[in-house]
Amino acid sequence: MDRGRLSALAVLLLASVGVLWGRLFQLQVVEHDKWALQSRLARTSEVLVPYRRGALTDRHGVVLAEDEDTHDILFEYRAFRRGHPLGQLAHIAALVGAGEHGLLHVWSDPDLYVAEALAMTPQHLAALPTSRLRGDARFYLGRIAGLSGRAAELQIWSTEGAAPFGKAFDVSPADVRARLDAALGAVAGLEAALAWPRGRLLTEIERRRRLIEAQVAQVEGGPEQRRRRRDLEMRGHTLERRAPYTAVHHLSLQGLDLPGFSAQPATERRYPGSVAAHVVGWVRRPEEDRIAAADADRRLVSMLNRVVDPTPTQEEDLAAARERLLAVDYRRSENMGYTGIEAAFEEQLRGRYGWRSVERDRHGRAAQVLAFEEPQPGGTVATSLDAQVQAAAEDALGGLPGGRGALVVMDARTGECLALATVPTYRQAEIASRYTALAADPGHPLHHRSFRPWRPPAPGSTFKLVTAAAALELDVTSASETWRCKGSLNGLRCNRAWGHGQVDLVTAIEHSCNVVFYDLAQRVGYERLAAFARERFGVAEPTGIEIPEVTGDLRAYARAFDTRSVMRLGIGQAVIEATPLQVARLAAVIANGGLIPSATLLAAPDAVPSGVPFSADTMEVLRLGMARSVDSGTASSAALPPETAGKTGTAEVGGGRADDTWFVGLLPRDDPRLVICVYGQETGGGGGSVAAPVAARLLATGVLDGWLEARR
Amino acid sequence: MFKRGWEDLRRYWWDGDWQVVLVAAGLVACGLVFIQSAGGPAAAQSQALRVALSLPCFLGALLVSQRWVRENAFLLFALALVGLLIAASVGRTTNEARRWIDIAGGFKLQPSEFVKFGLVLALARILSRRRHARTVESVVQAVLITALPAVMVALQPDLGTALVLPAVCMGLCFAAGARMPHLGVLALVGLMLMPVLWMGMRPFQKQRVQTWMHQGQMDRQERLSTGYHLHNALVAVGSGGWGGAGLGDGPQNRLGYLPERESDFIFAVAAEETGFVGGAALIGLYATLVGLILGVASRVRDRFLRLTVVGVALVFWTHMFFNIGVATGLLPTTGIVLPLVSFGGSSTLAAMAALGWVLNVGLRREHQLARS
Repeated sequence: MDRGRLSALAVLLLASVGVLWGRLFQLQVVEHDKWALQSRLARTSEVLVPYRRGALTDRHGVVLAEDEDTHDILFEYRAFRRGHPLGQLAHIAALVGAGEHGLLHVWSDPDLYVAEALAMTPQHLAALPTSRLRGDARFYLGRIAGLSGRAAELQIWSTEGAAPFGKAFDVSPADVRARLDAALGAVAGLEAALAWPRGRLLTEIERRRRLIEAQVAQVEGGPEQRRRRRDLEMRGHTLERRAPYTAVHHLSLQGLDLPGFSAQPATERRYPGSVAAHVVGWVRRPEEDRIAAADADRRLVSMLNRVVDPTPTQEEDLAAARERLLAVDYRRSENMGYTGIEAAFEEQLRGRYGWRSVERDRHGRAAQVLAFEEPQPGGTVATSLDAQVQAAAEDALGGLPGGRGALVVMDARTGECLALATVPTYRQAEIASRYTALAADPGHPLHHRSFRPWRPPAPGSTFKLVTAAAALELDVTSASETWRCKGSLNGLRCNRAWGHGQVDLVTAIEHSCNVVFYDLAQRVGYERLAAFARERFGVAEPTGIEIPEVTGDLRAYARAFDTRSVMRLGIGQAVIEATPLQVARLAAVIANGGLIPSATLLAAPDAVPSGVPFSADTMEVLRLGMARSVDSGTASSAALPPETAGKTGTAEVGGGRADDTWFVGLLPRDDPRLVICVYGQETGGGGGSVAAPVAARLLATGVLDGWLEARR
Repeated sequence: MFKRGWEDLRRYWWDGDWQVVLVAAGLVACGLVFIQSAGGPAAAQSQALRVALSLPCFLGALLVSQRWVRENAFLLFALALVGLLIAASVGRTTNEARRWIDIAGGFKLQPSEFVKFGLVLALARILSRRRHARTVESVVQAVLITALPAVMVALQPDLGTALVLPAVCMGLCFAAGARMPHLGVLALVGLMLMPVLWMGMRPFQKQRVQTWMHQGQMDRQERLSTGYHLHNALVAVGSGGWGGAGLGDGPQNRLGYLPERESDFIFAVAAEETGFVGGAALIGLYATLVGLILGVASRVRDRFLRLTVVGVALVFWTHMFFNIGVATGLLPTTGIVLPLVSFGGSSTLAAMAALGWVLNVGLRREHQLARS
């Protein structure tokens, strides 16, 4: 033995130290970022904190819709099957494919399934087609027997053992049974806390399991199928919304014995007062497609985030997925505005989820909160509605014969809608349970007749105001011209069969004389009248309201020989459609002296109407005509307050159905600010006898007195 | 048997290589710190108790008569082999292998930890016979007595320890002056035995090796099963960075993701919590210990004594390289401790005794010759 050999060993020692140092340097310094990221991703998870959706209020701050804090009871099948003895036993039975393996079967005869599991031998495992399934079977056997941390022994048993599982690991059926019974006791406790009947929880879970199995079976191919199963099994399924406090409390105490069940903070929408259901609208959970798309994008982002050196394609995919998420980042537990203002102002009303970045230990228990971001509540939307007026309007409509109609109360200058009422109506709370019935109802309760009627009505004689204004503004006639009404013109009848005799334009408006307007319409001409109605009065045009509406129809041209069309247009029949909101806006134009407001559902006290004013002569005729109509004309029988001006209408529907009735009123008549438009669908009778009394009833309640007083 | 040793210690204590003790004490102290970090104060106290209990063995090895050891070298080796046999037949099964013998007071003994040093004694006896190291016979003898415990340990199965033994055998043959062609043939035979070893491996061992070979592309499933140890060790070491997360603050350690973190993966704890600076220093300290022991060997003239000391150095060295190699993914995952640093009674006891013997030899290197 020479010193040379020892020196060689010393050199080798130095070399080995150099290798270890080099490797350490590579891992800790060169690749540090990669491993630090891995460490962070593995141990942290983000928990969403729900936000409160913004409230909707009326113009005085009365709440029309708001969120309240609640809890959802969620169920995740994968955690249940892995953690709960019942799920474990059922899964072993399913793996081996022995007979029925539903949760309820295991529940009804646990001893059979326990015995079967304990009797399993390595040969049984070897018969499974893939190593993944064999691994699964080992895992679940270890779980039901409480052999945590002995995976390697199980593996050795499965490859080299011969004895049945129970014998090999000294597990008695009583042990497993005791574990199962304790776990079932916890489930029964949750059932009691939810005030559910015994067995319903397991039935629900079994239904969920079957649903997952059915959906998984639709997918072909191993990896694809596994991914699908994983997605479905890990997806939280809401067992109960607005869970009682007892259940939340039970889960917080017994959560470890109830794997798969959790109580998640959530919010629920409330509609106090329950007025203006159509206008306020309602929310619902987003469609499954939308969530699935968002989930897929979220997964993609999280996966691509883990890639240390992304390729350009991956970077593009990441950017695209993030972009999409910004737009449709909806979660399953979230409410989304679906109709009405809830949908129209979704962006303002929707808040942003907060999150907690939670550090978890290897068993998934939360160790500490690393970061926290408060949820951002959605913004409150103050609407133009007045809850009191709205409620009174809904009441006033109740007296309509046939029970179908609408009522609009609008600020003539700003276009703010104080009330948009319709009958028949519904309550938002009914939507979830009665949607199908409501949608199928022949009375179309889901359609608001003010702006989205099922069948847009003809405005009838209320349109005569437009014809009169057009004739005066276009210098076709003057205030001093008179007509002789003999009850008909060119074969079209007047509304009074024996005629009105000698009338001027004011009287024609007062008594709604068709003959005068037949004549005026012919003199103005179809095209000019239609264009005037559209441009100056907004008939058959969008009103500016923020929620979806129908605009109705008004043909722009009539054939030259079609004199009857132009005559009918003059009295607002047959060739023209207008929604009550459009008729209210039409009246607002007259109130504003020719300026047209944009209808709005937002509180907008400073909005001003636009356009060119009518001449003073025109305004004189229209105002006088409308005032006399209430004083001594068609609306005189309705007991309207003396300061009201207005115009009635009665429109033929055809097809043997009763007439539609209208009344549109302006208050106060000297300097009008308020428009009230009443529409009765197929009520029969006349505007003065059916529609105008509804306005009178609303005004009689006095809910508008304060508003009018403030603007006098 | 110890009387003369005591006298010699009193007479020649200034000749002792006490720096070995100093470095070893430093390693034990590091070990206690990291064990406390990984397993809490209870584990650290438990390990301190084991260190204290192994001090008598250290003292015994320091004082024992060198002649007695030389004469009973094969007997000691045989005793260790009997321990292995007992462990294989009546031993308790823990984790995945039969490695342990229960003894009184809840303590367990792991004979494979002692068999390494027993083998060193036996090999030193064989290879120290004058000029015999250069003969084929002694090399073959050395290989044969190594193969016996190596196969027994491998069947436990404890592949890590089983591989330490041939490495020590090769090293000792080399140090004893075996001829290079012999060593070359030996290495070749070792390589040719690799397929046999592979076929004899358990399925989970094979999977671990396969996972190790493509450690850069582990999929999710592997990270949770066959690659769990490797992946989490790499994450722990890699996330340590330059300075580490601080003692007790390494997430992989603190949150329990790192397996076997008090024993086989104690180095990963050190690397995660004290970073490259701490990890490299620990490697340096360990290599210093090995180097010092080799230094002791270089000053001893007696072939047997010298080879035993070289053998001790080789055992520490291979353990260091295997353990840290596994923790940093250089080598396939296998359970092997870092003596003096890792938690464990048997390994601490054996290591302390070996260090006592090194001091024993160093202390009386000049004087023993005359007496023997």
